[in-house]
Amino acid sequence: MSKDIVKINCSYIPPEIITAAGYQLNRVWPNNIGRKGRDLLPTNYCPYSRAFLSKVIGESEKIIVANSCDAMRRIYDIENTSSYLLQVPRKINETNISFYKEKLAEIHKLLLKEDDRQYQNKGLENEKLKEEVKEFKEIRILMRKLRNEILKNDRASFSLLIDALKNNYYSKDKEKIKKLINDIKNYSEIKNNDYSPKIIISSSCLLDKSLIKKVEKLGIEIVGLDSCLGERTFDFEIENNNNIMENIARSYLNNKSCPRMMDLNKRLDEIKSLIFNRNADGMIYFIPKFCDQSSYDFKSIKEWAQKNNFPILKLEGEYNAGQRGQLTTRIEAFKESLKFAVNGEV
Amino acid sequence: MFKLFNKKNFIKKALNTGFSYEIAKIIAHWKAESFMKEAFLFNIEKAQKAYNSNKPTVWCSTFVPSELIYSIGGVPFMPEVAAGFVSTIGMAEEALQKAESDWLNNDLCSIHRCGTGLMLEGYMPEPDYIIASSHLCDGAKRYLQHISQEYEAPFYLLETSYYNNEIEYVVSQIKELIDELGIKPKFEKVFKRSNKAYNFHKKVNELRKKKPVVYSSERAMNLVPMEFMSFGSKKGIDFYKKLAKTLEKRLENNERIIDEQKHRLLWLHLKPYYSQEIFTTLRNKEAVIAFEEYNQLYWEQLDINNPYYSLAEKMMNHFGWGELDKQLKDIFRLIEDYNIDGVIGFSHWGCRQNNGRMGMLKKKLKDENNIPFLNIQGDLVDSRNYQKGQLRTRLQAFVELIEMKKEASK
Repeated sequence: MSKDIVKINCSYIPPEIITAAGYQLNRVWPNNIGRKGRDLLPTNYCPYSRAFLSKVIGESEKIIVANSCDAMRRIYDIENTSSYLLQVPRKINETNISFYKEKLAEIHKLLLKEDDRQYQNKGLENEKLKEEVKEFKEIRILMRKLRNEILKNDRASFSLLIDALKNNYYSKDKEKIKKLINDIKNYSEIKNNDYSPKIIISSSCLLDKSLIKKVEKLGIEIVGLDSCLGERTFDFEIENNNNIMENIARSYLNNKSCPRMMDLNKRLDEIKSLIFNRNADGMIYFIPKFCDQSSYDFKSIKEWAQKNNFPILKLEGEYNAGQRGQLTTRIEAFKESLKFAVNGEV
Repeated sequence: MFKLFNKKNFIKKALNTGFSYEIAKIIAHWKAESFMKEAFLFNIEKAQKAYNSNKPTVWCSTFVPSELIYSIGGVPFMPEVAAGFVSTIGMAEEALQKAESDWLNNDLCSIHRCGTGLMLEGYMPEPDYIIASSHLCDGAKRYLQHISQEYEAPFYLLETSYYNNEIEYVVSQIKELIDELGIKPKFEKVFKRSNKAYNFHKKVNELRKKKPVVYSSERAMNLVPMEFMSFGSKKGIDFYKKLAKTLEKRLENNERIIDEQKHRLLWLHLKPYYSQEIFTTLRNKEAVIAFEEYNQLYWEQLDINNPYYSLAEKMMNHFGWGELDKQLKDIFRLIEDYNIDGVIGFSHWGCRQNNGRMGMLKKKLKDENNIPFLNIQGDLVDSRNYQKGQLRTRLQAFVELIEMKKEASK
C-alpha cells in the first residue's frame, strides 16, 4: 500500500520526523510557476513561493511549511487548513534549540496516525526516529560521495547532484544514488587542457539547474554549490543517541546557514571555508528575484569579497534563468575577468 | 526653502546643534495647532536626544514596543520613520540612489533602502545598540542587522512565535535581551504613561466613528509614527489628549473635512509620504477615508504587575502578525464600527509581508463578502514609483463602483 504524502518547502524541515511517522516525503521543487494560485500572490514576489503555491494549492496532501521568510508565511496563510507552520528560529542558542525541538515533536505527534500512536505510547518512537536518522545518515554519506565524484571528474556535471537531490534524496532511493556514483566513476577521463576557472555558486534557493548547465557549458568549472538545492541539504550529521529529537533540532539549526539565518559570522565563515577548501577562483551569487534574504546576504559577502579582492558576480532571475541570453553575456565576461585575475593577463 | 535641504553639511550641522532644535520648537509653538504642536515637539525632542544627549540611542524597528526602549532608559530611533519624514520633505530620492549605489537591490523595501542611504550620507544619529523583532517584516531585521555592522553597534533580535498561545517564548526573548543588556528596567512610570496615552487614543478612535469625518486621514497616517514612538513618553499623553479634544470640538462645530461625504472608506497599510493626489482624487468624488488599519489599538493596556508578558502580548497582538483570520476579524470589525462602504489596500513595493496578503484579503472581502475592495500598488517613499494618472483612474472607478452598488441596493 502506498504511503500518504507530506509536501515540504525547506531543508530546515527534517525528513526523519516525517518518514518516522510513516509518510512519504515530497520536497517540492517546481520547474516553473504554474497557473494555480496566481491571483493570490503579487507578481513582484519570490518565484519559489509562487511556484510552491501553485503546486500545493487545493491538493489533498498534508503540507509542512517552514516560516523561512515573509513569503512562506503567506503560503501558510493561504493554505492553512491543510498545512502546518514549522517555526524555525533565526538565532542559534539553547532557548531556540529547545523551542525548535518542541515544534519538531509537535509535528511528529500530529503526523502519527491513530494506528501508530500505540508505538508512541509504548515509548518506541525514539527507536523509529533513530532508524530514520540512520537511514538518512547513509543517504547523506552517499550524497557527499556523489559530490566528491563530481568534483574529481571533469566530465561530471553538478546538475547530477541536483537530479539526485530532487529525485532520490527525500525518497531515500539509495540504489539510484549509488548507480550515479558508479556511472561517474566509469566516465572516461578526458583531461581538458584549456584553463577552466573554478567557481562556487551561492544562493538562498537556486530554483533549478539551468544556471549550472549554462555555467558549465561556458567552460567554467563548478566546485561548490551553496544552496538548499545544493550541498546545504546534506552536508551535516546527526548524533544518533537517546536525545534523538534534541539532536535533530541541534543539527538542523547548526547546519550550514541559509541566508535567512541571522548569525552573519557563521554564514561568512562557512562561505570562506567553502571557497578556500575547494580552491575557488570566484563566485556567482544567484538572487531569486524579490528575495530579501539573498539581497542582504549578498551584500555582506560582497563586502568581504571586495576587501579581499575575490571576484564575485551577482545574477538575478526567476525559473530557467540560465536560458536567458543576457546572463550568458555576463557569465562570459566574468569568465574572462577570472582568467585575467588568475593569470595576471591584461 | 528647499534649497537648504540640499546642503548636506548645513543639515548635518543643524541636526547636531542644540540651537537648531530650539528654533524648531519656537516655530512649532508659533505655527501649529494644538495636537500637531505636540507631535512636532515630541519629534524635535526625540531627534535632539538621539543626536545630542548622553542617553543611549536605540535604533529599532517600528514593531518593537517603544515602552521597552523607554523602560531601559533609551531614546528610541526608528529609521523607518526617518525615511518617511525625508520623503515628506523631498529628500528620499537622493538617499535611495545612494543606497542603490551600495549594492542594495531596488527590489527591496524603499523605506529600508532610504534609511541605508541616509546612514551612508551621514544624516543618522549613531546607534548605541539596535533591537529588531523577527515578526512581521523580514526586511527590517536584515536591514537593521546590516546597519549594526556599518556602525559596529550591538544587534539584538527578539524572536516571536506566530501563535498567541506561545507567548511564553516571546516573554523569554525579552527577558534574555534585558539580561544581556544588563539594565534594570523601570517599567512603572513608562507603563503608566503608555496607558494614559492609550485611553486618549481610544477616545480618538471612538470619536472617529461619528459622522461626519472631521479628521483628515492623510494627516492621521502622517501621525502613525506617534503610535510607534510616543507610547511611554509624556508627550505621547499630551498629543493624544489634545487630538481627542480637537476632534470633540470639531464634531461639535461640524467642521467636516469636505462638505459632501457620500462614501466612507477604510485604508489598509500605510500611505505614500511624498506629495501625491490620492486623497484629493477621493475627495473630489465625495469619498473620505473614515479610518485606517494602522490607527487601531490592537493591544490591551500594559500590566505593571506582569511587564514582560504585557510587552510580549503587545508584540504578538499586532493585526498583521499571526494567522490571516485574525487580521480579517479586525477588518470586519472596523468595517462595522466605522460604517465603511469600501476598502482600499495599499501595496507598498518591496513589502513582502503586507503585499502577500492582499490577494487573500481581496478574495475574502470582495469575492466572498461582496465588500468593494481596491488593491493599489505604489511606494511609501519612492516617488519614482508613483503612477499618477493610472492611480487616479483606478480610484475614480472604485468610487463609482461603490456608488453603483449603493444604487443597486436601494
